[in-house]
Amino acid sequence: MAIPPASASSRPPHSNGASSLLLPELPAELLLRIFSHLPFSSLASLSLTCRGLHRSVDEIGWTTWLLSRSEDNDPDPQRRIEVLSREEGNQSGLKRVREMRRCDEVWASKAVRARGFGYKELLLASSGSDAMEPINGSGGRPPRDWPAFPCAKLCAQGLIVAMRSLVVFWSSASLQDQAGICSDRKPRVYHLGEASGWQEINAVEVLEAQPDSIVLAVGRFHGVLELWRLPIGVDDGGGGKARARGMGSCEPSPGKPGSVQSISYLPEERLLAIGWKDGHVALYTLNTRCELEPLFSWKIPRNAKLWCLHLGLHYLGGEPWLAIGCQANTEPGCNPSPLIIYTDVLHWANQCAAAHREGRPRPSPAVIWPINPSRTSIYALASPRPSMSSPTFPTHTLYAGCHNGTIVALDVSQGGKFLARYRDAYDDSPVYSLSLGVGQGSRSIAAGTGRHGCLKLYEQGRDREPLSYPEQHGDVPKSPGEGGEGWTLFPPSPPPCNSPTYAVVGEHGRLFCAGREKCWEFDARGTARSGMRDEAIRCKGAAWYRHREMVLMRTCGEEGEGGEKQEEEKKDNKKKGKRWSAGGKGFWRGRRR
Amino acid sequence: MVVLETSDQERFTVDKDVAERSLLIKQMLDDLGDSDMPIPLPNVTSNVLKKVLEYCGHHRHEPVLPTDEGEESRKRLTDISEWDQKFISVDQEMLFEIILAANYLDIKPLLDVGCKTVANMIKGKTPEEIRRLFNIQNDFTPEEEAQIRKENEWAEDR
Repeated sequence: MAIPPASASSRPPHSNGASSLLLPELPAELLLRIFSHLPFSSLASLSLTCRGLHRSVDEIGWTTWLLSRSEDNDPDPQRRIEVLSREEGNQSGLKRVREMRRCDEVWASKAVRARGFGYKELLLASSGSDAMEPINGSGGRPPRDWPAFPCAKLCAQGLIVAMRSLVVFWSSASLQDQAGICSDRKPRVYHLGEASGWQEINAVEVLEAQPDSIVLAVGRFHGVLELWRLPIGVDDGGGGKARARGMGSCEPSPGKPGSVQSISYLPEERLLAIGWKDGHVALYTLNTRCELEPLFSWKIPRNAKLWCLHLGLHYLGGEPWLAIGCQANTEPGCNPSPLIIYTDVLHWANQCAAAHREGRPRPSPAVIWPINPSRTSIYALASPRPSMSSPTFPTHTLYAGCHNGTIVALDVSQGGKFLARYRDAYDDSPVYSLSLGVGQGSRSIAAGTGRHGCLKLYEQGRDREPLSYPEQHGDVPKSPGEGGEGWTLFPPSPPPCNSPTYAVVGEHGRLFCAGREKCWEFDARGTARSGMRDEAIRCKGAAWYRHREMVLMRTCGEEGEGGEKQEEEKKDNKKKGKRWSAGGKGFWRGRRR
Repeated sequence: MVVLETSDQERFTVDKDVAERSLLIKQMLDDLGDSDMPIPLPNVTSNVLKKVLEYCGHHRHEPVLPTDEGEESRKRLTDISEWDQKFISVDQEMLFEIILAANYLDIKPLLDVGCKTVANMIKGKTPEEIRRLFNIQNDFTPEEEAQIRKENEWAEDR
């Protein structure tokens, strides 16, 4: 058992009777406990007493204060806003907290700004170089129509959007810029082409993010998995001609498994899971030289089509689990659940590998088939990363985005117990992508939808009364907690944007989503007071409506063009029972009556 | 009965349910099984342990919550009960020693009472008053102090 460092109790008592043990010398975990009971003014006073306490308050006090104001009341110093904010490591804790509070205010008032970045512009800008090779088709595939099916990842070094055989990378530093993805510091473009005949990238995952390079796992349309190292160091030639280096590839297991559909990486275990469309799944471990070592591969039952997979942890430092979302099976007599969870996947894979070596039959996995009340395909899966987990939302909460537009929350450690459901009663377009830890207090779930590509935001903490557990497969539970507090965010000009949102990634104040032709950013930085009337360039306020009320709350055109008048119109339309088309056709196609 | 041995080699014999208010001791007892060996507590002195055991004895009949749930209910209880208030009215050195001991022995409710008491001592005081109260030396230069004051002004702005 670990014994904490000797306390001061061995010290001789002070001769004049004053305390021999000083407040600033208490261990950080105890100071944290004390800070969690203090108001802002007292923390401010404490930070003025001496250097030691100033440092402590700056490092842990402000964050504690901020978090203790949130509903979770979770004074956990480990909980940090993960990605981009890390750039400001030299900033004082108070400044950082202030920035976060401002973001919260902006989210609360919904005055987020939106900006779009077209991929086309980027590719035209880099024409003349060898950059155009894949599109001109010299030795590659003939160019298709420009739509792309992008995937996106956010890592400590920046934002990665991959489409066709290109990877576009925005560094954290350029995203810190007021103009975000439209910053003058252009993103870099990498061509991951030659080796694979310009096959399309279907899935991407970040394995390592160092200040000078990023290692990506890239899954191709023709089923091959490749590792690439992208140099992201100082050589910023604007437009980025730096070449990515291939690091080897893995051919699919026997037969033609179809495209790589999904990749998930668990850094805690250096474990990589790859899912092919035909239901093949492979587990790899990443060794310290950044090479993949195969662990085990298998095919999911029922010949189901695999859409997505996700690796998570049971708890901090706990065992990994693997969740697989597949196509719904409506055949009678079949288990209708499109979700499979391997609860102890690493242990099972090791056992299987051992059994394979010794010629024994392979042990059966610990599998749960949670009941999915929607009985529809699952396209997106997410669970909180350890750094953003809290007692209310631990790492074993799994969110599944379904074809009918609902998001189902399950508890993996309790046999897939149904926790909550989030949905927009007026819009059932499918959930294509999920991102957690965004929005006010980093407590929202963002869902990128199919059809029109609007972004749904649901508050994690609200309306999370457990739903009654269905008695039989497929029973849809009826209980409070349905609907939930949520709102829909429209990308500007024009809504709808006529493309599904294939990927959404984000952190506290920033949300990035990728559609067919454009990458959108929703930005909650800046003060609530200045709202969207500040100096940011090429950015517009986002339009949004609250699901419960079905009223368009705000819409703004270009900077300076007042657009708020639509708010009233919308209300009138509702009274008259008219359908409101959000500036374009098709938005309400899936609307329920 | 359980025998506990402090850093100054004093032995205390207490009922098992009192000792098990400390999750550390409970864990040790579970690991050791039944044995008459005294449990060494090298980080606690006898006068502090005496005080801690007084607390454990008074609260012996309350359920021990597992850490997670304890954490939840801890947040709901904002006040300190009357008995605890009286119990914790000790000099500052003893207060800090109790906090350290409660942390080491893993007695969450006691740790909480201690931390809240310290927080209450700090609340509503100026930096100068806090320095006097806790015998803290001001090691800032006047410029640094002014700088921090400026940063903290956001308190009004928030």
